[in-house]
Amino acid sequence: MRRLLAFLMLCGCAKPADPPQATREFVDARGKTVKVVYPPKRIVSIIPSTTELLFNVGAGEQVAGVTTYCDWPPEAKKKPKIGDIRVDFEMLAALKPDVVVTSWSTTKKASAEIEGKGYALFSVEPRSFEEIAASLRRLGALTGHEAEGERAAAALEARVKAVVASPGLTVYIEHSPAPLGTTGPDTYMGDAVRRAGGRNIFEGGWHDLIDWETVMARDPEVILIVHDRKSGYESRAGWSNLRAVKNKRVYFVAKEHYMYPTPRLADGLEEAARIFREKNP
Amino acid sequence: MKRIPSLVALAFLIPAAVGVVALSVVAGSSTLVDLPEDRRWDIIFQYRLPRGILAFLVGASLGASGVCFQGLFRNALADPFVVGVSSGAALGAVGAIVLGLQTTVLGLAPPTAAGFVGATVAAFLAYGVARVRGRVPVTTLLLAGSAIGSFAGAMVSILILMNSPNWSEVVTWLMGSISHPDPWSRVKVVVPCLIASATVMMVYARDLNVLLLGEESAQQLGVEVERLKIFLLGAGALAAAGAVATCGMIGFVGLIVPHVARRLVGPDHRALLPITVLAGGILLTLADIAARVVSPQFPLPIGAVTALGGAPFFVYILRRRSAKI
Repeated sequence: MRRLLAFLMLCGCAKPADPPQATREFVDARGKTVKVVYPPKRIVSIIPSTTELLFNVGAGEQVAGVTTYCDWPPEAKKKPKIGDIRVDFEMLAALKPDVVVTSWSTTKKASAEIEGKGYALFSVEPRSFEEIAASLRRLGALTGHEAEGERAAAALEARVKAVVASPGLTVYIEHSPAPLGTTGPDTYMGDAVRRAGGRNIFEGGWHDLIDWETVMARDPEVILIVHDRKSGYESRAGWSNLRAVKNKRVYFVAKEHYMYPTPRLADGLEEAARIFREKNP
Repeated sequence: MKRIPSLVALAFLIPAAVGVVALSVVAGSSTLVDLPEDRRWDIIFQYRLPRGILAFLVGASLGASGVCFQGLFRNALADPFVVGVSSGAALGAVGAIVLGLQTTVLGLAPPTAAGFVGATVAAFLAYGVARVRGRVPVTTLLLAGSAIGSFAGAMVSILILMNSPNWSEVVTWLMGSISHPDPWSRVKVVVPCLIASATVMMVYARDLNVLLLGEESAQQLGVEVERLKIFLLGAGALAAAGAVATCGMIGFVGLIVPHVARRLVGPDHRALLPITVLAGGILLTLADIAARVVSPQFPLPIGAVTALGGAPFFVYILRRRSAKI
């Protein structure tokens, strides 16, 4: 209530006082102060997850440009493209963005290049559920949708809180079939599985390449396949003797529920919790 | 007198080959000690043994292909990749990965099947381009192969740029890797290729020796040179294709090993071929063991290991050859 009041007061004093082209200063997740036209009418997002977060806080209409990989929500696909993982600066210039929104996955060099060309670059750094919620609030504030940002963040927090973990089972998360890669607990994907109660058989971070032998040796109780390959597992060495296979606890889950640091990650968390609650048949 | 060193070498290399494969089963066994017995045997028989055998066979194939091409082209720097076979295989495999092909062909994974097709097309294309009035001058064949290789290499680069989601699979393939969840399936691909190609090479080993005197002399001595070239090109390409289509681009083995073997037993292909096959297998198995010992958690791409050791050796050969001239 107090937040809402504060927000109303803020709206009340800011709106009539600010001329149309007024700028406002925001501190982004890097700790950088970014001067942005407020409210920004033309936002370019250069990371799929930030595109999604912008739509989550109701700023979809202001999004003027996205990457070719931005496929969620479906409306994002209709937006003009500014490149793939690399920003095409000519297209960016043509869109005349008020602010460019990015995330931790953009390199320092790439960030410096964008800032060097005079664009306001606002970074959110969602690496955990807490930070996803924080990112929603930041983007809500940045885009003039403070209430919606707050609502989305609170909804996410409530979902995460409601999840009942069933701790104990060891789990192997297969992130990539070739080369064989897993995801450790130090990532948001690993965090979702950990919160649901899974004990990762690997340590570490993203997309670690591994040897199949290690999976055989650690013999997980649950296997989560988080990529699109659905067949060809039976011929793997020792497959039918793995505990997870014997107990029919190999799950092919939708990778979209785990791949993005956005509220969709809560789908993954809830799904993983359901999986860990199941009893061996 | 010449036979003795080759027999001694065989007597030494055959047990050494068995030894390194056994070593590859044991290497890194510290993690196995605490495991329940059935799981330990699973790892040994279903994973480590086939992996060791695979490394051996791939090294053997690359060695065989290298010695065949070095003899055919009479060029010390020829290797399994000279006639564009590897780039052709790369184009096929990377194409299959980038297009996300899923269906298996004759039980082969899509990159393997497409790699085979690419290698075969490249070899025949090189032969077709170089063929003038029923004759195929080896220099032209070499140049045609190199041109086709560059073309296919450029296509690979474009494919990589076009598609980033699968780039890590592409990179792993281009760097060459023995690590795979299902090593037996790859062994099954490499074995027939190696047996067929090595048999052809052994049958023509004497002719390869004569070819060293030059094509005209060989012709005068009763060797059907043009037919010989087709068989040797086919055999060398098949051996390389089996290795490359399954495990990717593993460099330098095919270049180095024939030179080492030549130093051991001399230039007679009847001895040189089996020694190269054995030495190639031993070398790659050792490289695989080294990769696993150096980095037990993260599978080091074996192509990087062989190139790391191979590049200095390549320079050494270059220096020695230029010193002689």
